[in-house]
Amino acid sequence: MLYYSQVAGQEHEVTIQGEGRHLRVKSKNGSSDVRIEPGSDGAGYCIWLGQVPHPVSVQGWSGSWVEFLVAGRQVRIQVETEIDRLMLQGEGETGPGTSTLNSVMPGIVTRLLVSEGDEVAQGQPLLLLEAMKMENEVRAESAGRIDALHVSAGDTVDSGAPLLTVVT
Amino acid sequence: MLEKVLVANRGEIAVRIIRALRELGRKSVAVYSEPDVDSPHVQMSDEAYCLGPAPPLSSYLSVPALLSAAAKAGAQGIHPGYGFLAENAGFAAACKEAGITFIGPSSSVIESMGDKLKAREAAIEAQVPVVPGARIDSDDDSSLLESAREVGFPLLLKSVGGGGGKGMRVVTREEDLLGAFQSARSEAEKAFANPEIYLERYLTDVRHVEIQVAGDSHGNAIHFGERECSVQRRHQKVVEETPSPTMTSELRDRMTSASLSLCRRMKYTSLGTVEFLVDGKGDFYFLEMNTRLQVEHPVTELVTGQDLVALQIRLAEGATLFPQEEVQFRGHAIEVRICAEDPYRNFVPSVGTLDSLVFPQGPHVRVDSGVKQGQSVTLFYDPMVAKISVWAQDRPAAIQRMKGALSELQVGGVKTTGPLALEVLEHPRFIAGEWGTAFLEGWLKDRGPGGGSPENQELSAILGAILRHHRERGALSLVQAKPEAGHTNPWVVQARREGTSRRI
Repeated sequence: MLYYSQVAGQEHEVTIQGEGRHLRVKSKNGSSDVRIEPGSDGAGYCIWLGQVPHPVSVQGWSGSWVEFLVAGRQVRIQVETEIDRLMLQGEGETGPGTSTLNSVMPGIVTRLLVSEGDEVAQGQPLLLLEAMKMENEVRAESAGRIDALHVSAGDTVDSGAPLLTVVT
Repeated sequence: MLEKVLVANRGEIAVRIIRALRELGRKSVAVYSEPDVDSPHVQMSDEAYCLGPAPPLSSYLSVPALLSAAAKAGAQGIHPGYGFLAENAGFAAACKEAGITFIGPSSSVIESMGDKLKAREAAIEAQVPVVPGARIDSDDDSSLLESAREVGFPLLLKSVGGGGGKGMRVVTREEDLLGAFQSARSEAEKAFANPEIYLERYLTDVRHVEIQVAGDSHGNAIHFGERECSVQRRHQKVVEETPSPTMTSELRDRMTSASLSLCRRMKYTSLGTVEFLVDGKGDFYFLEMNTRLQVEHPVTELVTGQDLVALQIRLAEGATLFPQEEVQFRGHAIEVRICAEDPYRNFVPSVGTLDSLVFPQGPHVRVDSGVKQGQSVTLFYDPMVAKISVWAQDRPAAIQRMKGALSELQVGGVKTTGPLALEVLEHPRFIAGEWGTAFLEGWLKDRGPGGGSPENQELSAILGAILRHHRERGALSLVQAKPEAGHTNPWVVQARREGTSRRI
């Protein structure tokens, strides 16, 4: 199986053979045996590349993106397969002139500062989103008119949830 | 003697207080909100009571619920920890009325120190230098603007009623004043049940240095040296250490004697911290006094060998302080706060289940944690899940030890600020000890939000590909197994699945 890993804007081709916990990996620097074991205290993984152990904790997946912790470092990379790349080519753009603002964090909408139909300037505060006792101002990325509000005050939203749609 | 003490808090600080009570031979009473029922602090206690649902106003901030739990348990004392009701004079007074000892100073001292303006006045009376500032008495926008112009920009909006960066905003331009004021007010109201805001001149790139003090009910006051807390983001401390790398013994003498003079003037009878801003010329300004246990108290404990929480409990019982000469300082200590936030995506809160959790261990490595594997990190409470502190004979050795400790930290399912702290510890300005409160934010801005460029990109690429392959090719990962992860060992599940597929 061929994977394309994107790390800090650079692409690395990695081939992995096998299934389960014993694998074989090939990259431009050579190949090596892989063994996947539970980490210490049964938490996370210990990925062995040949004789070298790498303790890894996965923070989460988002499509082909994975975030993990290795030796105290946070890594966020995209790992794509051939199939992912073919599917991406089929995806179109949304209608010109409208953009939906999605929440970058989970939180509670404490106050809406605009109404539907309002004209907003770039950088204008649109709503207040509270998370972990801190209130965050969500501002307009560009000037436009509020086409639709998808939330009301008091709503709990997940990361990525649509907040409002702006016509530019 | 307080035979039974209710701990009115959650997380790592509740655990810390329960440990101190246990060592002193006192009984502990834990309280919890509904989702916290399986938390470490609850399971460690001698008995525990549910306060109510998750929102703090219905649980950890509910004075009636806390006092009723204390009455049911027959607790003689209440330890508030930090945050929540720790600096709420009304709560201290309500405890006293109910015949319960509040472990902290008297409600009148909390009130005057909690009110930033009264605290300034007290500091001025004690001949402690202060920063220019003004109080906002009315909701009237024009008087706000007038006061702001008097104080001068950039200025800082601060909640009169609380600390910890909540309800705090920096305003650099007049046109941003009103919006920042409103959001600071609403944040302050939620966090401290007091919307009042106070303006202060914002001194840029100064250092934040605080003095740990203690007073007793017999008129004695002593100090435990300073803590350097200048590595901050949005007024939240990220790395703390003692001694401060730029402290001179002359400056330390001036700062500790100013702090003790304030303590004596206030007739301060508990553990407390006097916070100062220090500029490059060796001038220092009173910022505020925290009339409670501080998050970063472990670094002081590591260099002095004292148990500050046990001392605080003993002081509430009326004990007499030991003389200043008994506080001896040895070596260097650093603390790092581990918060459930994504440091590489603008610190957005990272909520979810702690699928894996391995803390560092080893000589002179201390972990204060209030969470366990399988527990959820929710939006309701402070994002700090743990603190890692280390001690070593000097600063370079302490930095090395902390780097080692942070590389052992494993947290799965939730992102934390641990990797960022590792980068701070490697930064040449941190190593040289040449930074102020603007250091971290300035550096984060310069290097962009992406950051975290891995040392070995090839290795990261390989590990990422292996993780994806492992996830999709017959093996069940910890992350996929989330719903049942709490009760089933994923490795057993995987073996079972492998066994099944072989049979088929």
